[in-house]
Amino acid sequence: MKIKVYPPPFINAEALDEDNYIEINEGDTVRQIYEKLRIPLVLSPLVYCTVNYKKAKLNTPLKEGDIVSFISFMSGG
Amino acid sequence: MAKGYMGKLLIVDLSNKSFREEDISEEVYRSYLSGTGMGAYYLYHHIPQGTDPMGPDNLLGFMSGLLTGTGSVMTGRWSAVTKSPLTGGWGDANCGGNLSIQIKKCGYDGIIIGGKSPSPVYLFIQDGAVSFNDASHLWGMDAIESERMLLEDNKDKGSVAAAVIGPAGEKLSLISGISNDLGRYAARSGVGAVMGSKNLKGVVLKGTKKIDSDNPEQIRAISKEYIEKIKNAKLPGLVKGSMLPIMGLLTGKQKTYGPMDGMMTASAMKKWGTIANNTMGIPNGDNPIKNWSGSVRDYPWRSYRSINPDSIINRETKKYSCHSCVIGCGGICDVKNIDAIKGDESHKPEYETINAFGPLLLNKDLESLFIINDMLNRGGMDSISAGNTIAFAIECYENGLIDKEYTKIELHWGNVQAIIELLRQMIAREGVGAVFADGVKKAAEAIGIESEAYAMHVGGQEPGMHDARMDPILGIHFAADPTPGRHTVGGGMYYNIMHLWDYVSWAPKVSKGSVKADDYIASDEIGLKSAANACIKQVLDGSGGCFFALATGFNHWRLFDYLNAATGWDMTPDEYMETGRRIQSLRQAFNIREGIIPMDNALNDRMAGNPPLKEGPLAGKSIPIGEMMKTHFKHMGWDENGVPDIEAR
Repeated sequence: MKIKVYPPPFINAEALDEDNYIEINEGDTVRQIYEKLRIPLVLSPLVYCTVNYKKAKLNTPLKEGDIVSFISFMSGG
Repeated sequence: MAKGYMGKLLIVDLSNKSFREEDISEEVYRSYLSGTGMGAYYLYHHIPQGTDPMGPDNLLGFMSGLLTGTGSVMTGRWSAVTKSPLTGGWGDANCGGNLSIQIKKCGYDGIIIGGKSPSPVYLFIQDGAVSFNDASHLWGMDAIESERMLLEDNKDKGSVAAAVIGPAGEKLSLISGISNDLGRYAARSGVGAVMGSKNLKGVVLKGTKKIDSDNPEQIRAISKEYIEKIKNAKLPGLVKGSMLPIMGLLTGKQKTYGPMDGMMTASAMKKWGTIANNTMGIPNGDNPIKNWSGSVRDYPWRSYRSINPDSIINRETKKYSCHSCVIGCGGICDVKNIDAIKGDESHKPEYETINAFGPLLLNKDLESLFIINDMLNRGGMDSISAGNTIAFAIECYENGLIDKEYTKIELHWGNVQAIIELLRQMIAREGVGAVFADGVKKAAEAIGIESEAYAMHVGGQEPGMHDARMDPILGIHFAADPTPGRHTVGGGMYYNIMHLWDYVSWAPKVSKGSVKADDYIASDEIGLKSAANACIKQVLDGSGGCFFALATGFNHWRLFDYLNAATGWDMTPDEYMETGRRIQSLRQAFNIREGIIPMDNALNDRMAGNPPLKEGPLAGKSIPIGEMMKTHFKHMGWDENGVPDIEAR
């Protein structure tokens, strides 16, 4: 299963392919995305995260085609 | 029957107090949309070459947007269009509020005003009727009080909207703007001076016409989906303004970038508005400091903590939204305990104002920024241009090009009282303020050639508060747009967020791991990106769309679908982009006809990083701006000197 991830700016996004897709397994939740992206779980209260543009928690389940977005601010232009 | 648009313009002649309606064919709307595009079409064909921008032959247009009032969201913007007295070329300025919808409710897509009244007047336009009213009692009155009085005087006529100028526009300041909604500004290009030159204090609109669209159900469906996403875009309460510099620092340190999700940035706009960038952009070099010569070393945390956006929204008593906006980046602030401000409330200062009078001048006094914001809103002066001009004045003073005998004011960096006094004199065009009331370029001409190194302008217009050394694509637009110095055309980060590549066949795709250093090279890819920014910006302004909707991405805010649903045209995104290119080419052709040489608008050495800064986040950064402009022109389909062939379009 593949989902799309918009990562936060402060992580190494090597786990994502060039179009920001990542393979997940049946039963995976947002917690697995934190782990794959090596985002410290302790930051989760501060790291605003949505699944399909609805606020997500660490135990929010994921399915094929989901879009997971993390907090990112625009500075410039 | 026209769909989306109203199908006609109102043409007013102030010299002989006459007016007429002019029907516009569907072919023209397809070619130029409405808004700025329609303004460019009409003014290009009706302003004679060489017209004095401050003379009666210049035209001033109040243009609505094609999507305004159709049920679409984030489409309530209007544009003032004219020949700019500031640059001598094409001029426009964009603004929100509730004016755009009233233009259309009056039955028009735009109101074009020519001639000159022998004495101060305001226009009252109701559906098909225009009255010319004495405005002598309003002349000299500030913009907010004037608008309040006009609204009060006409309240028996139902819901009205008004656009006015303040004293700066009356006194023909070339950096004056036009206000509506008690302090929202179409500020750029010197549009306020053109209005003042016509003795036109205000325009009051009251309309009852219905605005049709081809497929209202589809528009509603698109809006519903977008509104739902925006509603959910909500930052956790734990995220504080004090964290923003860290976010800025992390963003600035990234060596690579990828596509971004604009819905996440919308959450910050909802919470703070544009002031989210107050402190985020300082550690990464986005915010110009000390007249573009400094860095975070000159304005460190102990200075910029004063402009933490939380300190500003602590005063916010209510959110402010323009017509059809669902983000609400504006705000009304309680200023009762600031004695220098008349009244109890004032619009929340925007980021551009905060930075132009804060870091740019090394001013760390937040209360003074509220005072200055109110002075600008009442006086009717462009905060970007005014801040840059005072920065120029201070640098001239600090380097001995002007002295206290000349200024009567101690113009040192961060001297709050001096900054406020100079601004007051500029708005009133009195004392030394008369030297600086027309912006940086005119002031540098008055002070002498040695001052030009400190004169931060592009083609006569002062640049917005974002540093091209941090975002070179922004620099291309500063230099290559027909209204130079404009920060709202586009930039690298905006490109990454728009997702245009999913809709437009020739827009380069942004993939994860794109190398930031490559943005500093005049490559075809960068030229294609900047051309895409320029084209979509014209589609946006023709539609009445908000730049912050664009910044949520077209994967969320479905502009192309909105346009087809409103008009029934069934045009492709590529075709709309060609429309944007056609509008941009006409704006550029206007400049060429007026004798402007596009390559003369290359950024000055300081803004381009020649030599580069030695410290701070922009240390070592420079931009090959001339080559980048040429690459941009190539991908706009213009010749290497930036001259378009408008017959081919």
